[in-house]
Amino acid sequence: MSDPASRKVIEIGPFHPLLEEPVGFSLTVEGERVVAIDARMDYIHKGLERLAQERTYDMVPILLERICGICSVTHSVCFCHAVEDLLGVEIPARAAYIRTILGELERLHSHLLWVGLAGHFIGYNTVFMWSWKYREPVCDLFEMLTGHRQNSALPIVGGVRRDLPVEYFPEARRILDELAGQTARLTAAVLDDPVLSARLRGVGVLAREAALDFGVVGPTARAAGLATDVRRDEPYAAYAEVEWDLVTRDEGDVFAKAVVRLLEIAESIRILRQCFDRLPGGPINLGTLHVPRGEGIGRYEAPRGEDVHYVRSNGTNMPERLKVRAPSFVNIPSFKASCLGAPLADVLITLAACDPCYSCTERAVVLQDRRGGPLPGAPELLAASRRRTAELARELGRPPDLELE
Amino acid sequence: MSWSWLDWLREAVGQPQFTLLFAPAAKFLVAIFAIFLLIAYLVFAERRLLGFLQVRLGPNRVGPWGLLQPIADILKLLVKEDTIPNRAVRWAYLLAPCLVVAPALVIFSVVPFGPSPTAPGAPRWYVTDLNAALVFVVALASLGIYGIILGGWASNNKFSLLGGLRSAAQMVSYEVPQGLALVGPLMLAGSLSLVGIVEGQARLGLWFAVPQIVAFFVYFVAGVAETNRNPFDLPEAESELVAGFHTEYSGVRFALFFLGEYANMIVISAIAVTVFLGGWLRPFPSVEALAFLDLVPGVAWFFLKVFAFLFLFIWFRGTFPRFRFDQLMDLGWKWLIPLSLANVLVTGLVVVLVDRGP
Repeated sequence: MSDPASRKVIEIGPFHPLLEEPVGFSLTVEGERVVAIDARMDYIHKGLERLAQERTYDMVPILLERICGICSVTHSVCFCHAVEDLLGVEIPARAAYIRTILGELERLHSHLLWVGLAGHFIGYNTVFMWSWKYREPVCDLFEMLTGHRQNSALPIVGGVRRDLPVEYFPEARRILDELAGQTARLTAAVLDDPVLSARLRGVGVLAREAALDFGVVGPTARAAGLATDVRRDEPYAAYAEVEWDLVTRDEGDVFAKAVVRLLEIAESIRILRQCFDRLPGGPINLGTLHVPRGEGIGRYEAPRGEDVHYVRSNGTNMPERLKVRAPSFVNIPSFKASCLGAPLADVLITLAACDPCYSCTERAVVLQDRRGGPLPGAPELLAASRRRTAELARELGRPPDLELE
Repeated sequence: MSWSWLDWLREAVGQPQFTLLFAPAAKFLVAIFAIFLLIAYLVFAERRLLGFLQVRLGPNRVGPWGLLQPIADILKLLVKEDTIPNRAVRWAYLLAPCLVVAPALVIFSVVPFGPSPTAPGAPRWYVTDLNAALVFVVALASLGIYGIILGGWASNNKFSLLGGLRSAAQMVSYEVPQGLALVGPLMLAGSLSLVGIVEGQARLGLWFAVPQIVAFFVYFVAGVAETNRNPFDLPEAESELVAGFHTEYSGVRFALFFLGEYANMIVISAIAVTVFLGGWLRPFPSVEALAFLDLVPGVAWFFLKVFAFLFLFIWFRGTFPRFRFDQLMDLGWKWLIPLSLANVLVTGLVVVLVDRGP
């Protein structure tokens, strides 16, 4: 079946039952084997970075909660990290714990959501229904603590906006205990299932070297044996003060990714319990802050991996520039390493296995020269980017990050 | 006179021609109507049962306990627009759904739902007792797959085509072990007629599932694969192929595919019950102590067993993820075919050595 004439292009997307969001994958297949893959990710550019430049620093986190349907805490806290980096301030201990609680609750419901979707993709709807059932109380808990199932509007630069209602903590602990039992059972069932093993082991393998080459992050990297996690590498919030283990696997296949996420659920519950027990007193934010001229970078471990925000300030009360690099942005290209040569059925679960989130990733620019001239390739784009970086450094009066020839 | 047509009917019924011409047709119509109803409520039962397995409710809004849901669904499917893609191969596109349903329904004409009449005037619980019924069943069951392949090809859609291709490969791997699995019971009963096979089990005093446990297993796995049901629902794998071979179909034609799938489920169950689980016989037909079970009519036993089988189908769907294509082929060629061949060999030897055939 290696006859090029038998090649067909199968378009997965922009509308397809596999996808919750519009994205286009063009899979070139020979029979059932995928030989080439191309992605189009420019269907729902929301222009949120631009919008953020017209909001004050207090308003931006609320806007950024809308970047992703799931990672609402991720992007707003990551932005706060960037501005706090610019300011060079430390947030109060209580705020750090509250941010940790929010972040781990988000990780819990995000991972449970993924487990369900993965089950659905391989035709295992029972797992889908059960794990989404387990996810519900987590969202309820989120609402109980913040007033909303998704968007808490809590993070602000220098801490959090409101305190958590301490009187709900016993109920929160009860929900966590229940969830711990349920997810332990789910994890055991998934690890035991011979059909799941046959279906997922050795599928969509992203080897350690390839993972390094593509610079993947989050569970995708940890399943490939890379012990990378911002919470451990550059601890923020309360992660340095609570006990938790970094979950890694060496296989790099879809099964390993599922296992990493399932075990991370248990770790999240562990972190949450400690946070509920040890929540310190004191202020929850630093009050009004003046943001001077300068630039800052925020890193945050989202459920899908490392999120990076870059903020540049010109001394006014609005950021001059905000750049968001969502974790899926670096995870999606790794499909070139993990999908080629695999049968169609395996490719689709592999696409889903890095838990891609497309609307957060929408920063794509499609280059098109209507006159048919040559398009700039990677070297030209890289050179342009370096020139711009050097210009920025000159404008801000700081030494350039790298020496240009 | 307003009753004159009834008088005419009463007179006509007495004529021998009427019995000859209309009785089988009427019987078949009744059977088909019953089967349609059974299918409609099988879908409903599946949805409620899956709901139970998946900790949700399932349809419960239309009528008491949602019992009218199937009726509403049928009405909806009947009035929906019947779309035909512009570049579809029209005749094949139109023919395909019928090709799926018709064979499945015809098979019911040879399935004995109950025993042959013991006394004159007693009801006969089958349309016809064909002397080569088993071959007839196998032949028609494999015809249904052509409808799927044809539908997938005629839709002029890549997803449909891939679904059809998978279906073809699935058919090649599963027809063979399924046919071979039926050979064992056939040798034990010494008859190709389904009534004869059940009577053979009565003679032996044992359901053939006991001596033919391997064949029973092979038949059932192959049966699940043949009906394209989970975990072998590759031709319509939703997350991969959208809806597989019936991606382009809508309205009545989609309903026909749906009908075909469920009719096939019932057919597979009915044949499995007839050939392996003693058809209308009670459990342990030779044990005298259980004779009180004969108070339950044979038809009830038959349907009880069929329902148990259908439950198994639904349970499977709630329990297994979908196999991958090559795993499915592996299972068929490397396990089921050798297993069923070995079974045929052993059964043949035993039949020859023990009693030189019945």
